[in-house]
Amino acid sequence: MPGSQTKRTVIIAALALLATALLLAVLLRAAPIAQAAGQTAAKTEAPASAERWLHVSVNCKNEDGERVRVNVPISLARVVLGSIQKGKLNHGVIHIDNAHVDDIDIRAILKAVKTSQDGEYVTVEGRDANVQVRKQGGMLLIHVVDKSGKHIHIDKAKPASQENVDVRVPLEVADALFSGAADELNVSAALDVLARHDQLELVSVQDSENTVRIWMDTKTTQD
Amino acid sequence: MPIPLMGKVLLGMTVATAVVMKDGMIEVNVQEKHEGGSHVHLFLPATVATWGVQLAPEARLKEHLRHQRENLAIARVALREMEKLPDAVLVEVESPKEHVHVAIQGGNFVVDVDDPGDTVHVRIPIRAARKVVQDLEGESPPET
Repeated sequence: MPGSQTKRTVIIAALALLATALLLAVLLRAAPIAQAAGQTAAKTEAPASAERWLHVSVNCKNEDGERVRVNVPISLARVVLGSIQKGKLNHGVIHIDNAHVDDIDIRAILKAVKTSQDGEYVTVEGRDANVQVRKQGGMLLIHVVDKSGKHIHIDKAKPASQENVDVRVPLEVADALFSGAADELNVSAALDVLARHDQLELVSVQDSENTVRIWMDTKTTQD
Repeated sequence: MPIPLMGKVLLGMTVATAVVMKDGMIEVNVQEKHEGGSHVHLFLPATVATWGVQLAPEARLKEHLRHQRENLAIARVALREMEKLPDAVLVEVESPKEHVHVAIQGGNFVVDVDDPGDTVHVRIPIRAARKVVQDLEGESPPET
């Protein structure tokens, strides 16, 4: 029937017009909304997620006052490392054939440390550096005080101060790292185990000019 | 009758717009700071980039991609993983002279650089970038 056909055509035309208007409205508003969302996200606290993020923060106190912030999701690092097959890196495993590890059985040392009680294992007090290695609650803690002044020192006008380095590695992560062959470091496995932790302070380096901090948590930002 | 014709045109326009815009928009904004410096501002549908791979001369494309298969595979995997990520700042470098900002915002990979020479803003939809890389990977000949 001509009447009903006209009615149907009008409805189709109206629907098409509505769809076009909606689409244009969405497209015109999408960019500013996305921008505003980005700005709001930057201002508010980062949402927690199941994803684990590795954070690196570098602050230089010299005249340039450089600040570097790096936030990498562990899953991304793991997947990208796993897909690389180049040189010594083979699907998340690093070959260390040039390293002199023949004389030291790292796996045996790790096994011994794991089964031992918590405590201080190594203490070296020298003219240039003090080194302390201890085990505490499943963590291997390394503390180095470099007094040599040979570390990175940008402002040559000032005398080099001492540098404090703190490294905290869960023993299970170290275990996973050395889980492959004798001449391999299994970085992918180590990242897998690392990602089981919610929050972990890994490395801290501090001297009079620079502060470096590496840690992981579930936040997307460093605030 | 004018109404059915207008309806068809509008419907066609809607579909065409949806197809062109479905992958988002690529934005490139480069402003040179020196006197008389140029200003380039591109704002184009990401679908155009995905079509670009199909339109490029096949022989020349294959030649350029001969040794890039592995890198493209890494890029594809990285982009696929980035698609799943929430909004986040990946890299931020700040100093009195320059500012670099690399972030994921609403499914886009956003790079902002502000240094004494230029101001650069690039926004690329991650999904479209992954599609392009995937297409390029498909076009790249296996290494012999």
